Amino acid sequence: MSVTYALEPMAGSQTTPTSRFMLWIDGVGSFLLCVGERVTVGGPRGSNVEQPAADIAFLANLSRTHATLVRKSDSLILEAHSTASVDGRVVRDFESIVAGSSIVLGNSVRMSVSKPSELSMTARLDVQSVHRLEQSVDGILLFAETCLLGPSTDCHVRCPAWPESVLLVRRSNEFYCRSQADLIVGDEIANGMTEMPIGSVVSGQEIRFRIDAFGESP
Amino acid sequence: MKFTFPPGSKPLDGYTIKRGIDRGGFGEVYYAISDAGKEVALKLLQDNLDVELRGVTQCLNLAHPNLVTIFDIRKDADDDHWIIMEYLPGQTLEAVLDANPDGLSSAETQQWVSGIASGLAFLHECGIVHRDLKPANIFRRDGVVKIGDVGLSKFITHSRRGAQTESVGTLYYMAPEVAKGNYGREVDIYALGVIAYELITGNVPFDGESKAEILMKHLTAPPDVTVLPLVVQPVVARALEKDPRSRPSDVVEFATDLQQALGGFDVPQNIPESSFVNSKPTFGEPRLSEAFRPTEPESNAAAGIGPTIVPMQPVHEERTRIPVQVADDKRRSRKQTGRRDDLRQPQQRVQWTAEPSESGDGREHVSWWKYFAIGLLILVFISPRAVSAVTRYSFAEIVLIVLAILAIRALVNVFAKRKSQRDLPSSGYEARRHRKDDELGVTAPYPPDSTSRRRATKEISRALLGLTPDDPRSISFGRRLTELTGALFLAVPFTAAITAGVATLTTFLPNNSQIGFFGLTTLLGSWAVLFSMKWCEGLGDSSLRRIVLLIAGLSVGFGAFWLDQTLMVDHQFAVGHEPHGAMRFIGQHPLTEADNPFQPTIAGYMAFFVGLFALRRWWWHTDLLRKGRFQLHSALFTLALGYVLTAIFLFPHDWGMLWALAISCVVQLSAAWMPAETYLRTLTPGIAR
Repeated sequence: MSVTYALEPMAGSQTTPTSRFMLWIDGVGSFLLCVGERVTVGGPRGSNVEQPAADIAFLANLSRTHATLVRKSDSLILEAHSTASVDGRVVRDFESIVAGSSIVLGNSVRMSVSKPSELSMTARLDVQSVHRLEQSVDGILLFAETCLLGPSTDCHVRCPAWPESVLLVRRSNEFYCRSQADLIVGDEIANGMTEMPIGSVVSGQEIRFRIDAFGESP
Repeated sequence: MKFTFPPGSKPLDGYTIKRGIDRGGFGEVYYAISDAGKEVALKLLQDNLDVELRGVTQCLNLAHPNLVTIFDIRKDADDDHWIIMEYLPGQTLEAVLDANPDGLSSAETQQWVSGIASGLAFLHECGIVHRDLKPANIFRRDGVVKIGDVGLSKFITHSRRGAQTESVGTLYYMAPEVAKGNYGREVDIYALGVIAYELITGNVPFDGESKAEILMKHLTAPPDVTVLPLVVQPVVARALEKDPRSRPSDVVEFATDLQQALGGFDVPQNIPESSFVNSKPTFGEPRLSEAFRPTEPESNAAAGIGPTIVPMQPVHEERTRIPVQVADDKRRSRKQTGRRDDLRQPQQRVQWTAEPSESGDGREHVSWWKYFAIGLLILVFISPRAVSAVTRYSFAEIVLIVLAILAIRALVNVFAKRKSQRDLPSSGYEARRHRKDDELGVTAPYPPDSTSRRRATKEISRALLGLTPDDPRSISFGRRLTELTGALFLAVPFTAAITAGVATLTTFLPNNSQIGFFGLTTLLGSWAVLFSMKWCEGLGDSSLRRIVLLIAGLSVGFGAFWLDQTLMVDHQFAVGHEPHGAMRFIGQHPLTEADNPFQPTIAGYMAFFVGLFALRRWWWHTDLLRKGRFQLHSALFTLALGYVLTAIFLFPHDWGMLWALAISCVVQLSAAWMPAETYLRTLTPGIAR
């Protein structure tokens, strides 16, 4: 069941600016990490370079800022700026999103929402339609505080071949990782919660991944 | 899954590797981005360079919507070759099948098959055969099916057809004729038939406990098409024909036939009840393999939302088991723990097949029976009086108890096998992962010279001959009878020759009665082994074989005693060492006459031959698939066993050892045996052209 909220405009509220990162996992896939309370979703960047693109910019016939995904407390809300629906219901202003919700933007961009772990507020968006971002991704993670990568089904990113799960923790725009498996971050052996500098490679038995800033020139 | 290059590497100028995608027999595939932002797949060629480069070069300028585009081939600073290909972000068919373990809908199946057929038809038109068609090589992007990994492709012009002898492809989709190294575009049609089967049912038609078993099924076993809708059965069965000449002449023909057969499921229509095997009321759309779940066919038809489906048994219950699918638990557990080992490691594979089980499967539950029975048997033989005193059973009763234990063990073994077979995932991700672990690799590790071609074919043969005498396989009654008759016939001259040799070259047989006795007993023992082991050949159950051998030993012991009495063999003049076996009695029965230690009693003969037969793996002497026709070490080992038995039982040393050696030699020389290549040819005459 969804609830329509009469929210105060959030533009003026204290929010963390959204940052985007790419998570590259060997043998698994590529994932867009969106960090922040407000994540905009829209179409491709226009010719006006001054106008920023949406955080999640589909190559699709959408408004530049078609909708905004808002994390408020422990709930996720879709704020529609143009035609959008959640589970078949047209969203006029706001609509809450729960795990299993299906979001349609415009007439064709379809996404499903999942929250594999009850212990984490991080949600995962999977594009169900043929649309794609500028860069190929296998999933979009609305990163809250923590995110789980590993072999079990309650992980946000399932890595079947991994021997152990890896917990990613975000503090501001810094990432940390922790695992039962022996990990090497960059050139150093991880010990407990270990900071992952952006661009460093984390590796272990059957495990290897890296987080880059999104859109960073290769 | 470890890759050579970590994310962020730039081994190839102008491209940055972002992550590894997959590893195959030919090398590693990476997702990379060019400096301009173009997404590509980079394939690093590590093995099989010549084959892969040749294949890719052929396809470099081919363009078709259903083929993955190859952009370029480049060399890095280390002179390693990289193939730059179109990156396809969508799912592979393998992933789709993982997500749909019971198969896909009719419409989806048609879409996949149609796309694959279109791409293959184009390749075939260009004179190229793909040779490694499998779900992991098939992609779908924005609804368009694309075939990738054309690196194994090879020209198949008619004039060069006879030269196709490199072994390539992936085990589950490998056509039988690939084992011969003589194949054409029909291997792709076969692979597409397997894929169509898998799309509909979620399972491959030929699965097994080992690579050898799967290969054997490809070569000999008919596919179980009864799990398919009846209208689809002949179409898929034809694509899976062993003889490539019996398959559809081109891939489009197959796709069209399949589309027509599947088409009936998308249009509401009444299907006669007779069209289905073991039918049960069910609701048709959309999953073909589950197309017949219980439902109300009338309302369904009335609503016009799907076909009126007639009753059909659940798929999993109606499947018929192919005899060779009977599992050996030990090997199943190996499959579960085993890693990929490809055709390049035949010896390692054989060793893998022979190592003991370490995982907890049904085999472990029954192993103690074996040790208990053998221990009891040894105890009875060593100290029958003590055993009789403790158990209050006579020797005969204890032997019966041991037989019963072995029989129970054999039964438990059979049930345990069936249980473990049920417990194994037959479909879905786990099953597919097992398959992937066991894949023969997408390897064509041989440059196109004649030596490597021979090696390639030989290694597939070896893979098949990884099928040891312990492995279950199906053997026709006619073949069994023919081989047995020949062996029994051949045993006569070989026995005569050996007896004559012993009589003339040694002093062990000083008179005619002893010569006749030795020869006839040797022949009797050889026939007993040949007959019983041919009867059990291919059954794959060593417990059953041991029971049969034990009974054969009792019979031969009785027969030897009868011959001894009939021929009135005079043991007073026996030559050789006086028997000094540790056991002089079995129960109350002496093993030799009280006044002549050279004269065994019926108990003595029976004890010796039971020991000789039951303690030796005689099926490794007689099986068609044994390593060689005659193996000296086997004969010597049997001779040693004869000595040990005469040390345990009070039985004449020389007779015991001579019989052991003679029977081993006669049996090995007489039993049918075939070299690998000959055996392969006999399996599928249709492909030996």
